[in-house]
Amino acid sequence: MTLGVRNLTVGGRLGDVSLALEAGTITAICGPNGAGKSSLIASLAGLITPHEGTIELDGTPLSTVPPRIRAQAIGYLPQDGEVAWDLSVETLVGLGRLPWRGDAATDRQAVDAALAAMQLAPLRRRSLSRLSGGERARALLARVLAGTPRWLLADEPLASLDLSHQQGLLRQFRVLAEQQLGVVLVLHDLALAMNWADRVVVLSGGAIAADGPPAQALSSAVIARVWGVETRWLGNPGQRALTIQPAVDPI
Amino acid sequence: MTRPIPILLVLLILAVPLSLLAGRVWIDPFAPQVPNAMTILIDLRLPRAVLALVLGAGLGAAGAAMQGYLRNPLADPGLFGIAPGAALGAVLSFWTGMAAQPWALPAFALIGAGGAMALLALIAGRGGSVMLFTLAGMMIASLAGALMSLAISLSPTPFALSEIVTWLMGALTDRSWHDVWIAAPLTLAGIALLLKAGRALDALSLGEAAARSLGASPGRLQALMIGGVGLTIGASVAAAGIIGFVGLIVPHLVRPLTDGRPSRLIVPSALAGALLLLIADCLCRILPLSGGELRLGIALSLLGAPFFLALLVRMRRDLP
Repeated sequence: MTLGVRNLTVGGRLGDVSLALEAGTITAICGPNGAGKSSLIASLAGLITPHEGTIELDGTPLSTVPPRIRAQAIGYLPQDGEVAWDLSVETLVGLGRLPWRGDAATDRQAVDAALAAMQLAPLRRRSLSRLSGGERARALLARVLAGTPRWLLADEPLASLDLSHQQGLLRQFRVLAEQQLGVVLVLHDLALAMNWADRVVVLSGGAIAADGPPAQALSSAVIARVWGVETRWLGNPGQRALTIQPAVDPI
Repeated sequence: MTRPIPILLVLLILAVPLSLLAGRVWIDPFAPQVPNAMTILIDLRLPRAVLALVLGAGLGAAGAAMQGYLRNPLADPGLFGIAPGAALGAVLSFWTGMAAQPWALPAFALIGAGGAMALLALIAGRGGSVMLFTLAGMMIASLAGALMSLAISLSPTPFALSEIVTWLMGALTDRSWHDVWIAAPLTLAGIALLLKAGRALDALSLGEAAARSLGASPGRLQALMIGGVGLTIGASVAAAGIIGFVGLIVPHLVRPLTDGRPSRLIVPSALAGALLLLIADCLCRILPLSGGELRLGIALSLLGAPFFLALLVRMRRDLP
């Protein structure tokens, strides 16, 4: 199972980007503001028609895949987390079944599984307005999972979450990757990308500036070149923290 | 969550026979015969009741779909500019003096509605952006409104002027089976289109990007909305003039009884709209008013505006 882009150009935002993603891994897309991260993930989700190049799902151009089949394979979690109506958790998660049009029993099973995976079963009848920020983020992710996608594309899923909810959600992404889902996340927090991703793609000015294992793609040299900030990684693999250089020790 | 559809159906089954008995002449089913009772029932009250049900259902369904499409509980079917377009067509039929022909007024109104729909589709284009679409609708509404005022101010005779003004207020007075045959098929076709839009409207609850990622096509949804709202609102203006507030109030009242998904709101809103229009028309008929009946459009505005204000006050209280 592969998802990738070849020579992708999206007017003014991405230029000649080629990338092949693999299932069963967490790929983080990082880069400064305006680097084209959201455009890349929206292109992968089939939401942007590229000016040039192709997006391919299992070797087939995504533009030739019917929208409903594409939606069954690729789950997309947008950044804004908008829900127009005050739905119950269960009803929201049920919206993830829209691409399937299957029988009610299968739908219910998938919704139950998604609720269980996100530890939301006890809250299933609660309305969204009565959820905490963390619960709401889990409910929105459960909505995507209810569609049983093979790819999960999330645009800054951790942006509005506190430390513990960030860790909780990242653990969920890890479990999903172990279940052979392809997980692609746009992340601003480079330490989270360093510690949790299997692969990091760094974008700069609409092109790929670095691509590889986190230690390589997010090396201090790359960060200096792309973000223009001198930094240094501290700690051991999996628990690294980023400090800004020159770090003046106050003590 | 309760089940609004059976409750509304029961209420409708009770309300229809009762509405037939009420009017300037009360018909008591147990009392001695009223002269011409059958004529009053079959030729006057039944078509009027059926028309109220049909138009109310169309207005309710269009309102529910519209609020789902704009993701806004304060949206009204009038926002698309289709009602003003239809009204402009009807006004022109008076202005040209052709309204004397029985077919002319509804035909002109439907051409007006169709023109507004075509213009809307042309301006909004194929992108399916909701905001562009709404702005286009509002501009069409104000253009149609201005042309309507122009037609009124240049009215050829005082008689045409008074006819236009009275007609614009919206009413079901003296409507016949002829009006039912024009409005019913169009309204039902419109509701069918809106029901087809249900799944895409559900997806749109999550925003435009998420809706597309769920396989919904913005262009198809837009076409269904133009067709569905155009047919229901166009038919209602053609048959009864401008009747406001139904499409705004009804989905509000019904939403708490559903699970909140737009697709689940369309049928209950159609039923509740039918009930509201039937009752409102009945009240207009029996209110003792010198110089004729209270116009339905005025009655609903008198009822609807305070309701809406109360709603806004309640919403303000709920805000932090």
